Amino acid sequence: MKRDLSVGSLHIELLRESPEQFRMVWRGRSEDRDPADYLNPFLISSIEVLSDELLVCDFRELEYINSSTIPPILRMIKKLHIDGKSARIVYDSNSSWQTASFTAFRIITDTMDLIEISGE
Amino acid sequence: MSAVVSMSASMPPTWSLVKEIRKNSSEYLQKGSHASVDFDAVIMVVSELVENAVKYGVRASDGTCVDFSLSVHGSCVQITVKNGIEKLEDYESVIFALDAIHGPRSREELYRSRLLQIYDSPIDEKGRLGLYRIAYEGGFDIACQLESDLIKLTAWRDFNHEA
Repeated sequence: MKRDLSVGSLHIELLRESPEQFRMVWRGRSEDRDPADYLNPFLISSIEVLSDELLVCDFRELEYINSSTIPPILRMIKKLHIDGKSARIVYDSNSSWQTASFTAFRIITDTMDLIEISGE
Repeated sequence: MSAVVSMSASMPPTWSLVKEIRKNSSEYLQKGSHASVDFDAVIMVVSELVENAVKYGVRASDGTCVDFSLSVHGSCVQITVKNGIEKLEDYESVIFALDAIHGPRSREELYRSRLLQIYDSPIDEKGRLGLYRIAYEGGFDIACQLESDLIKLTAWRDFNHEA
């Protein structure tokens, strides 16, 4: 099972890695004016594919996101939380911008039992 | 400090202007010997400022739509973006964000607090996250001036002088 989204320089791939785990890999650059227009439907429908599997959101190959990309990521986290899904958000701990951006999301996820953020 | 990348658009700018300015800025940074400068941080700040100008700017009475300059002198980087504004509220909302950035709360706290507001909002909230991101993630200082119907945002950072 595999789902993709490619818009401009941004590529997202959702694939089942094992019976227990999906991985959503973000690559490239998200720099459109209104990325929510296509990110929200893709991310929400991707979450609806999950049953009890863990979703690993892997941002390590992402080169850049503008601030307009952040609300759709927050909306994805909210949907995961509301639906009671387990997820791990992975960022590149050697990248200063990724570390700053993704550790800041902990203000939201720190109170969530099923969602964690980790640098690798 | 002399301007080394300078661009202006007197026509209503399209989103491709953001890409063009980012590309020119990136090429300039890579050509020079700016060892102490964090390129990712500079390009993020360039992008956020120009994106805001394209999104919210209008043609000013002098014909200006977006004026941009990037200057690097040693470890000091300065980025200036000027655009026309439609109403005074646009300027006031920038000043509100800058007052918060220069206030007692840390930049990290402000940024996280804005994330929380966006998360909690039932609608797709937009606006001003970029300024908090410039201050927190980019580590830049920001100032704003109103010149007639033009708003001028200046962001600067000395990469050898960490806060």
